[in-house]
Amino acid sequence: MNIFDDLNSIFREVFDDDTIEVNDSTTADDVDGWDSLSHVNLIVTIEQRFKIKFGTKELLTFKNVGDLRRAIERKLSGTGC
Amino acid sequence: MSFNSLQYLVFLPLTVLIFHRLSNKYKPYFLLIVSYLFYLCTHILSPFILLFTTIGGYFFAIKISETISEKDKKSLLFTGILLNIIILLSCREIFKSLIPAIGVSFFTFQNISYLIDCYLGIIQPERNFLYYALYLSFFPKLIQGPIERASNLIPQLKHMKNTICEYETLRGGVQLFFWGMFKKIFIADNIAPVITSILNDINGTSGPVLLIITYLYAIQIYCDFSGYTDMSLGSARLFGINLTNNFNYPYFSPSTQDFWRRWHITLSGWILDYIFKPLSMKGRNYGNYGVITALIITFVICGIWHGLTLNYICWGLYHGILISLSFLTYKKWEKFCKKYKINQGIIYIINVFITFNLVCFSWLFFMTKTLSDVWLILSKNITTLLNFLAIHSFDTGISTCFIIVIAIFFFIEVLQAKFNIKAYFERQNVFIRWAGYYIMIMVIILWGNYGSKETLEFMYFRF
Repeated sequence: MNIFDDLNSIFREVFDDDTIEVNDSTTADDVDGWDSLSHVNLIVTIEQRFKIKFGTKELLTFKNVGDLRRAIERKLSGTGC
Repeated sequence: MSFNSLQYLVFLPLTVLIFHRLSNKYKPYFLLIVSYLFYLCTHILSPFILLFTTIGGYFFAIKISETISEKDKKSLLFTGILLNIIILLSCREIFKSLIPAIGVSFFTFQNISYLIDCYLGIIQPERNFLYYALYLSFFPKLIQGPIERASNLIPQLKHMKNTICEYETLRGGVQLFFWGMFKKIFIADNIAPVITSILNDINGTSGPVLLIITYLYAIQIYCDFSGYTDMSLGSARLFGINLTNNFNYPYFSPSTQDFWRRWHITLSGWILDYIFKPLSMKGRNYGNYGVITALIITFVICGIWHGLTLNYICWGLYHGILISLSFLTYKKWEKFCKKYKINQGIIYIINVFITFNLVCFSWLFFMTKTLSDVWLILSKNITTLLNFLAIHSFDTGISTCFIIVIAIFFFIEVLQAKFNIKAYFERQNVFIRWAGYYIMIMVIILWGNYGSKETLEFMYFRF
């Protein structure tokens, strides 16, 4: 199972929409209901599912799903801060 | 020099004319000088405050990006932010009689956003002082926003050298400018004296009249501020610069969350990115409590940005609570509507109606100076509504004809939002277009309000 499968399942659950397919270039504008309020819930779910913890600074720099994916991969490989 | 003053109507075309005649090399220098002269007209000391803020932002940003240690970066960032807050508080609260630097809250907020973006690595610091100084001082947005991000404006300023004086661009700028002027001088300024006179005697004013001015104030503040924004965007476009729009038909929002995406967009974007996001991320493990606490703190700060008074703090608190309630209930409301198969159009109208009324109530904190006045108007409004609008004869001093014009104006707004009526108008032949322009200019000249200082000034100048 690759990281996008996990991300898709998380996005579908958080935004209550089974048709969501995310990729690196997906932004908040592409997902119905992804605003700054639901973003909090999304981040918490990702952290719990992948058992990782983002730093506040890096959370503020995510522009799209690609940034999010790369940060997750860095954490999982143990190279991230 | 206000956008609706005669001086500006001479200053702007003259500046545009010289700008487009200049060789490309001198254009940014010219705009910088003109912007500082423009600001000098507000107060002799104002340009010095602006220059000091600019120098601070410029050097702090470079220092932040050159520093390697995360701890030192953070210290520099906080010192830079603190410096801006001190400037803001000094001009707005502590020494406001000595240095009434109009617009200081707008350029200090831009300076703070620039420092934070450099700290986060979202942008690289601007090494050319000329462009950074112009980013903060560009006169169309200097006094009352939009609160531009460096990533949007600086690249445009750098490409300004290649600006070609295109008829279409100039026409669009002039049209937008006069549309803004129409909103300000004709609609907002004709409402202003009515509201001022009623506010001088709230006790002696009947409930139905107070209820009407509650709604009229909502129209006034929208036409005043969005009128200013149109004039600002229109002016900038004459130099080939596209500023960010601050309004997107906010009174047609179906929720308070949505209202804040459409009202004063650049301020709400700012508070969202630089206050709400860090706070909500810090408190993300506390679930809804974390989000709600972050929302309330964010909106109280947003209230304080407008002024350090109880009214503005309560206004912020009120919006924080409203958005929190909307956040907690919106999904349940959507599910309820789906379950009972309520028509989408009806849901939208109900949502817009509720949101509009909640927002109109919040303007009472802006309209009055004390909380007791808010309570007095609110209690009279409630009594009027409970009596099911038992309207006897009353007179607000506003003619029926003017009310009809306001209704037409909002109808045009609906058409623009739904069908882009402006593009349709521009496709018409030259006679129809120019007839439209003449009508608008005649309305502004003949029926605009050119009365007192209070109407001449834009409402957001005080922020």
